[in-house]
Amino acid sequence: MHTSAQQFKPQAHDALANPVIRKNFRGAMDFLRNKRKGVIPDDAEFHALQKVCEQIKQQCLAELPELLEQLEKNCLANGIQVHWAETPAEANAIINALIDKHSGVDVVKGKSMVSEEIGLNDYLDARGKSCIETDMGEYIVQLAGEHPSHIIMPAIHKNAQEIGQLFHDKIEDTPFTTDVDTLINIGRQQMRKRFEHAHIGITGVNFAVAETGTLCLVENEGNGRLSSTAPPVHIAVTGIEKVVKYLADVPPLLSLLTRSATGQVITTYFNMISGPRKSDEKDGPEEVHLVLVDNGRTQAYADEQFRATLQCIRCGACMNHCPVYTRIGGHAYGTVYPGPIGKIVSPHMLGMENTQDLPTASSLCGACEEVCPVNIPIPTILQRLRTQLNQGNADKRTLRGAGSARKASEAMIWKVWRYLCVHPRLYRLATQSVARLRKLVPLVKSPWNQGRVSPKPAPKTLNELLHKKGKTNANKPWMIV
Amino acid sequence: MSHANTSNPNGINKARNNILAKLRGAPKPEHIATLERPTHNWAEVADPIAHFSQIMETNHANVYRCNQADLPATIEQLLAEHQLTSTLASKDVLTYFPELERKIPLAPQTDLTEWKDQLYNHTDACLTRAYASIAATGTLVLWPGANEPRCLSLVPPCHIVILDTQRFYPTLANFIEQEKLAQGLPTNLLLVSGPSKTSDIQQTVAYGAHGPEKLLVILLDTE
Amino acid sequence: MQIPVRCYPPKPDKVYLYGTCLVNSFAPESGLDAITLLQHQGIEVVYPAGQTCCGQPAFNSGYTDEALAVAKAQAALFPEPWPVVILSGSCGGMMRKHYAHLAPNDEQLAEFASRVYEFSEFLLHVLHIKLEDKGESQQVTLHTSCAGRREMGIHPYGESLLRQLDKVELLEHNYSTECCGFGGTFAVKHSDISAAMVEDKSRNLRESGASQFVSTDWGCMLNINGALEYQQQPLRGLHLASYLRQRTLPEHSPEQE
Repeated sequence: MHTSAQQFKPQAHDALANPVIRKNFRGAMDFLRNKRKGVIPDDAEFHALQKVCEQIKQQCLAELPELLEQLEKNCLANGIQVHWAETPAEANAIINALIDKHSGVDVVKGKSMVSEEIGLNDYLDARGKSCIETDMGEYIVQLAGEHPSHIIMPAIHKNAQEIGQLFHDKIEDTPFTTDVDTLINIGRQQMRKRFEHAHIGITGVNFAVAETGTLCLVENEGNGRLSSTAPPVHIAVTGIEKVVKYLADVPPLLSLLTRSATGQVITTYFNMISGPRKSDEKDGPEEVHLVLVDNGRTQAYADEQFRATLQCIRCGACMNHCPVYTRIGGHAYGTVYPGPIGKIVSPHMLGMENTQDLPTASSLCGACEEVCPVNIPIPTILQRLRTQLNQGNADKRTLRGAGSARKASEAMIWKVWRYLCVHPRLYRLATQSVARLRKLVPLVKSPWNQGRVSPKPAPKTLNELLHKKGKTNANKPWMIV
Repeated sequence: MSHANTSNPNGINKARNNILAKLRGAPKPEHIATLERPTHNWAEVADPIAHFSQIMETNHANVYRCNQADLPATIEQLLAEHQLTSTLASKDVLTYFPELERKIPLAPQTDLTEWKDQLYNHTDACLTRAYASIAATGTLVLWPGANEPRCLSLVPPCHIVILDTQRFYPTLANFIEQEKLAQGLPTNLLLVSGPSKTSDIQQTVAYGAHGPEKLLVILLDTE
Repeated sequence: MQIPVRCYPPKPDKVYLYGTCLVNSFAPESGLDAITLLQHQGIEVVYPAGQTCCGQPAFNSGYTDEALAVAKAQAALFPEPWPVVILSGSCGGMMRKHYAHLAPNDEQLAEFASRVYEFSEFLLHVLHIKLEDKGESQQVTLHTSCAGRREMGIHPYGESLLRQLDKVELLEHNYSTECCGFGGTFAVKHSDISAAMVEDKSRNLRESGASQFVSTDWGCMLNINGALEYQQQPLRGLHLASYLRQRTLPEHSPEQE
């Protein structure tokens, strides 16, 4: 099943009509919200740490070009080779060339959303290389021919029943079961041999520390450790915004990342890689590569407000708390990053013309901003994206595809609305006329009427009633009531 | 300045230059709060060992405690308790505790590629030593190296680890600062806070996803 | 983003009332009830006749120029330094938080926004109102709008006021912090999703067991009441101003005045 951001509306419609999706997501989101709450009992502590994390990310972004150079220098000094890619195509070509250089065909991959973003699996597939996802959730979606529906829990849209059936159908000699321990053990056994014999391991990066040239990986399963340890070559792929200045920046960010994401005070493994194996070491990769990917991030960076998008540490708390994501799930978005963060990051990656329905698909309720560990003002950024979508003035269209959703009729409605709102007499006339025609309101059908009746105007407006009741001040345009 | 990607002549340096130029062309923020990087402890931990043990056990690790004289007996007890028959110890741990070699043999001292099959398919458990521990989060710090291959604590289904109770730090921030890690890190530094696990199927926790299913922590009281 | 801590002024003699466009057209009785309650606290209420809309619909739709023009027109109608009491957490949030986004350096807008108080906030923190309940025993539940909750931080205030009523039992409902699905043009542009949200919200309100739900925002209530009516359920929402007026000043109904 492949979805696209251009088909957001029909995909959302289908998801809403699917009771299994609705139930799986509601249950999963409730679970994750409660888990987070359990480790963030104290609002004051959260807000204090949130402020620290926000400032760390802001400062790192302010110095981003310098930090990237410092990271590169220190990685090189540690023996980590650094590559730069402006586009997904470039990133894929770099990785493919590295695999070829080592005559590799068997690739194991730890969970990496950037690798999803660049479409690495399909790229390698088309070149005869087998890239197996080793994170249990990613493995499940890969087996099903799908994509992750959540950035932290990729297979969250499936229940044990569906996964048992999938394993039974796709893995030889596997009896159907819904026992989770058994299913996980099946996955483990499937991937053991792959780890043992893989040529190349690919992972993402959670934090890249400029000061020490260190790549940090956060995980629970151990597949990230295996992917970065067992094969002779480790390729880490990440977005340019993941760089932090100091090693001391890591503890606060890590603390809020794991607590926000899965409600853990820390994950089972936190893996800090500062180079390939030394000559006296008996295992570990002989080569480590870091691929730094832009893919639209520099566009977000160019605008001070959109730059906040790059503060994201990919915890997924925004989607866990989003009433829209909770109901439609991750696939409906048709983007690699779903939910609130997906709505604000995807336009930079895919262009606004391809993501037109995303910025408007929010009630701006603010639940995402409230839980964001780095204080990204997601609703404010959504509002800004909407101005870009509708932007009539070509000079003010700063984003790729800006203005692509502008409709002359809609722009005209807002012009009329404005005219009425700044001309109180006309406004009064208009609202009073609508009040007189109130009986006609139920006859006007609009999308609002899906599951709702239209609100009926009152017979008389408040303004009218007060005009009768209050005394109009002769000199001032107000009524004292 | 030389770049690793000079081996990729097809304009990859162009990517580097373009990305940096775009970033440098962006407006500088008017005001960025100067942040004192916090070095204080995020959480004060009253009794670090108890706190550590409690979190570790909540995370499904088994915690044992003994003094050095009782260490061989403790090892023997937990090998029996968990029915571990084919085990390997790191050179690191046996250098510190040579008396344990009678219980757990030394892992081969050659490149792992030569004994991969043994480790992947015929080893129940490995014994290693923790470098330190972080009380607040119930975390072991592992410092693999020449005498402790990374895979010992990762590949077999059970990992036994000895932690000196003198080696407790309250928090990760404190550990990084006290150990001056910013001045130099090993090729691989690991924080381990329990056995391998996953909740990827219907939010149900299962242990032993890819790493060890069992983590046996021996708190060793020295002196 | 944390909501800044607010210092409240002493009780004034006079306030401006900002009714909001929805109250003006759909629920004028909420405006009248609010005025009655304020007057009974000895406050003179001034209602600028030229008020129209806070600008939020255009702002949320990405039409910032239009929103700014309307916002400026509103601010100009409230020249005296009196508090502006507003009958919506959502419009209040627009003024308090977003006017600064529209025009960061506009002093008149900023000064105006600094005087805006949501109704329940004003009763509780400026008037320190003491309510005397004259109604029958009733179980109610409170729905706070998302902007009221997350931009204005007023959710505890409505609760405090309702808890002052002796014979009213305030019931929690499930997912009380979750959005009802209104979101202005969102409800039209993404009506499927919005309808799914309000379906859940209306069910949760019903399942609280309350015979009445109360809110400080007519935006949410047009949405929720519309869904309840569609479902042919008897439960309806009432603005907090009307509910408090009915409970404490039952003899002063707008029709009798």
